[in-house]
Amino acid sequence: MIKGYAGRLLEVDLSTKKFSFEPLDEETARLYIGGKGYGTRLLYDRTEAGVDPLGPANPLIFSTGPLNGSVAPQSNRFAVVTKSPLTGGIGNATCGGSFALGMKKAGIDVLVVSGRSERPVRIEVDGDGNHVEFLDAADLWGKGTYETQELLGKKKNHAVIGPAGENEVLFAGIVSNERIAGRTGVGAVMGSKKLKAVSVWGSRKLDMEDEDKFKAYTKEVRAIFKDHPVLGESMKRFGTAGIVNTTNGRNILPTRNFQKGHFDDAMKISGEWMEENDLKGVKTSCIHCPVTCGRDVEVEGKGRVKGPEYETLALMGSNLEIGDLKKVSEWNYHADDLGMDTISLGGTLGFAMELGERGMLDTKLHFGDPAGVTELIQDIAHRRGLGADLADGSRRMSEKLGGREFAPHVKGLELSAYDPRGSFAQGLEYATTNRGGCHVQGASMYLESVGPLTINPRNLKLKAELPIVQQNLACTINSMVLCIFTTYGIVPKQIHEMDPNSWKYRALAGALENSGPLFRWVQSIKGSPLLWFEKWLTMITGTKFSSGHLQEIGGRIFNLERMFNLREGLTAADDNLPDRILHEPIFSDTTSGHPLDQLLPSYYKKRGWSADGVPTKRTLDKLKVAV
Amino acid sequence: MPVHVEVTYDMSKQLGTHRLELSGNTVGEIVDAVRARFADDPDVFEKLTAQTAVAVNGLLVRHGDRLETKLADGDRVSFVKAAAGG
Repeated sequence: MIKGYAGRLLEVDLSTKKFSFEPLDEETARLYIGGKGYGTRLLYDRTEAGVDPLGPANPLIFSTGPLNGSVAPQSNRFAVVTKSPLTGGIGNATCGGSFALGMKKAGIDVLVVSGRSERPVRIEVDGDGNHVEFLDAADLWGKGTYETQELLGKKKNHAVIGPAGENEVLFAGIVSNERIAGRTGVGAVMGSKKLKAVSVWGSRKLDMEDEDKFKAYTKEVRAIFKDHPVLGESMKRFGTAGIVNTTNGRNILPTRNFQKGHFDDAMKISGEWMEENDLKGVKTSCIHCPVTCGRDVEVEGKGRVKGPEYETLALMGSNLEIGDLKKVSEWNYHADDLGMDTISLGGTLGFAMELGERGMLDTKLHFGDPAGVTELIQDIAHRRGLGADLADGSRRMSEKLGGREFAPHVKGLELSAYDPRGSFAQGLEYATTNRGGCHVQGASMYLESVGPLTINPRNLKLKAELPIVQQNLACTINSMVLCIFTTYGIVPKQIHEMDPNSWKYRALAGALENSGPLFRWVQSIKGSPLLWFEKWLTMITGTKFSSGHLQEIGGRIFNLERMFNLREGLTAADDNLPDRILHEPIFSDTTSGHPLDQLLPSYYKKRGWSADGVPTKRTLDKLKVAV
Repeated sequence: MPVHVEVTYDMSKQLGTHRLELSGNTVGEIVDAVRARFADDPDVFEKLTAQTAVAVNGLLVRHGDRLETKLADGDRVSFVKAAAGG
């Protein structure tokens, strides 16, 4: 087996309560790495078109990558892949916590859960003994994710769902420790299988090609991250919440269900506010991560608990016009405990508030007023009353109640917290990303509007190239499986230190904006490893990787996802943005919102797709995508 | 010309507020008005704004004409730092 892999795949069938350990397919690992890439390949091959996402034939695939189990920063994450009940297309999410490490120690690269149990069940995987136990979980059913993990014990590594997953809330997630695989409803799929928890352990060690070299180089990378203005300074000091004031200053902080991009009380939900008023000095991190982006906060009655991240602060704070960090922290705690994605939850709550204010929904919810929200979050998780409608997400609500033009989603997945009207490449990325309106399947906004090198976010230059390169890179990162934050280190410290008003900076930003062909050429180089991603893969597996290889692998994964979506009935018509984003301005000097129609043809062409967004045979053959 | 000014990070700590109401006809005049608040130690202002861009009503003032950019009544001028979230 290739170094870096345990070499085993565990098959679990909940219908028959049978399991088997199978060899990992080396060719698939070479082509798709691991994580979401390997999972997508399995999902495509094992499902028929039109498979019911909440039916027994939809597999739930947990997958690690070659870096999991190593000491690389931000490397202990796992991916979950399945057909999404929220979008009807490819579903996936990644998660920190300890579960990935547990899988690797158990000698399992991939865990495929199929079938459906009749009664609540949990499974325990003893990797050393090569044994799987199916245990009754009736006593855990109904319990929150925190209590469930507490009862299961801290010695093992768990992936669990809360009531939201049990009740098939379409944006339910899967929790490990205090982290959540939040997006696309993977928790609802787990709940549909009546699977409450997976616990896994073992004592195996990661076998890598050159461990000494890997450790020495990783020490260098850690030093780069610690010295980096974003990873080592802003994010280390303020967590992900350190970006609230930046997006607010740029008018891209979702406010009042994306009616505005600026919130007057943004400071009160910011990282600075958290540091001074609520943080109490406790930073947290995933295993081996020097960034420490996690923040614990005090929540009344709960003590010190995981604090809200940027996305939660935006979607459940400014998006609802709630400038109250304590309230958002409280809602974040409940959402995590109930097992729900706070991005989709906040987006759906904002949509419900606007429906209510327009008289299209009978609700007492109001922007700027926290009354009723805490109770509604509980009702959503348990599908009670109005909560039953919200549990299906904003797209389905809009189909039932109206308001499609301002329902904040792409392909059914609620938009994350960067308004694309101030970040055109990010908007194109939202529209074309296979899992829907998501910011961590590329993160073009970093180079475009919030990072240190702000190529003009509101012209059309480089706007088709940037999302392609970013999406491809993200596909590979999510298959290794690394945290996407590792990509923020790519922009070196020296650029951060440049005066944004200097001629050098202007020259650099201008050159980048006009460098489409050059940009793509550099990314296609297949030679020596340049960045930590390629170097780590090379040192672990023994196979030489370069930036060009990472682009090629990512492109392969992205195109396979696209083929999955096309097979499930999603088309170019689904590469869209809400009407509000397309047509309603949030800047005073413009009349239009986002020029998606001008960008899509170029994007399709550069992807090697037909004019209607279908990958050509030539593109698929070139990337070795078998369909 | 009255405008709203937003500052963040350590600059707001130094000023004791994150929001100021100032007068100025151009971005340059507003920057000078903020600088004047650091009259006792101008180096602090330069240090705090060294890697800071300026946005008017959310749009980054492009670099060449930053200081000459004209302002209208009620505009919002924001001092913006590079950051990342997720």
